[in-house]
Amino acid sequence: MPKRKLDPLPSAAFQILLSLADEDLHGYGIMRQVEQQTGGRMRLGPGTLYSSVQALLEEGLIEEVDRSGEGAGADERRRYYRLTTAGRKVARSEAERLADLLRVARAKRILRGDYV
Amino acid sequence: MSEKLYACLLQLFPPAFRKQYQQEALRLLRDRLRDEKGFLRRLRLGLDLLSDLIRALPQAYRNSYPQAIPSSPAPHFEGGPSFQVLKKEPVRRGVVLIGGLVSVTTLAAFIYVMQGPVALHPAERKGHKSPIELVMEHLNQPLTADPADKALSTAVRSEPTASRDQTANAIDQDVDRAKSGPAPSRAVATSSALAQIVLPTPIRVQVRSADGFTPDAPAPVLESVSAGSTGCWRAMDGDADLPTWLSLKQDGAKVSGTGGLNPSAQFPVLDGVVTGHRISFGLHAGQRTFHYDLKFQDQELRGTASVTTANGTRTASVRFERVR
Repeated sequence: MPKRKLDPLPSAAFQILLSLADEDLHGYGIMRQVEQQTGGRMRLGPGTLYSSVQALLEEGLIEEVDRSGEGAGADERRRYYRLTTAGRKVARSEAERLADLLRVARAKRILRGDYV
Repeated sequence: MSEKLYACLLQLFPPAFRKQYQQEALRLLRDRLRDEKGFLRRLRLGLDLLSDLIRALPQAYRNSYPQAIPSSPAPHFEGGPSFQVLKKEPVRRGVVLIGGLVSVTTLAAFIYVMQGPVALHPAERKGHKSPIELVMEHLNQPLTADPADKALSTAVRSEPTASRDQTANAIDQDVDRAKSGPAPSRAVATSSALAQIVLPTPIRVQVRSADGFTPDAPAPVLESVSAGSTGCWRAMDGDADLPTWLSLKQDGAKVSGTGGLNPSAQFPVLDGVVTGHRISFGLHAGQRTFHYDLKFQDQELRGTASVTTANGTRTASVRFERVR
């Protein structure tokens, strides 16, 4: 079985999946959402954002949404992206993996109870 | 960072990526430029874009960008290779520039390596000939042996264990026969041709079949071709005060090199001359001057050495054996 390109899931790709969990977003919206959900620690540049988007599209974790009829002009038409079922599943498993790490860190008293 | 500059930097991304996302990326940049104003924010934006460029390029080249591949209009022949253009794109200037730089760098590295001394053959390990020089030397050798050359080769090869004098005499006779034969020798007509014969021993004999080569001409010149491998000699007996180590190098009729009581205390050879099978040269070591008159015989140099000091001159017999 060939190794998946997003295995392990890169941090940027995981953040993009999380940003699309609630609503469909275009590129700039994804960037703003990621910046917000990371407290400004991660600001995705265009290269990282669209490279990750392309990889997620290839893996079928997100899909492009056709919103051409929703008021925007032809020159300002943006591409919107939506989380797929597979993408949600991958995001959940990644979150669980991180939660396990968190439990281990707590058990070893590396992390106090201030987080989560 | 301006939009134009970033558009130029986007040229570093693969064409398929730019085709799909260049407009989106520029739009995202415009959004950020609109929202992030002020010197510090703009500075942070510029740094963000640069670091993003470095991080994103590998990922962008790893991604695959599916696109329709047009069917080939070219006819396909069974069993033969076929070439198809998958991407109908003009060659970019950046690609030409990078390709040119890589080609020039590779060529420069190749020339640099080829100019250096490389030991290709055990006999040349201590030489300083580059591979190009070796190839040119090989190409300059005559392809076919002339009658005179063949006579020389036959004479030498038929007597691998004969003494150097006997071999030289045989060479003289056979060359004379070749020159006086009914068919004129091309070697005689060709004034600058050189014939090289490799002896079974590490010594080479070069006979110049130049114009004016007659029976009355001097005997063939004996040459030690490689100074590093064949030109070192050690005294086998004789006066203990005489130099016991010689390192000679012959160039035509001239002999150069060094000599001394041991390999570490060497003095330059002066006025070295080869005449026939005889070699004469001098050595000046401090207040003593040596003069050697030697004859090449049976892989040895035999003859006399005279020492001149403030008290006078005395002469002794010497015998040198080839060390390497």
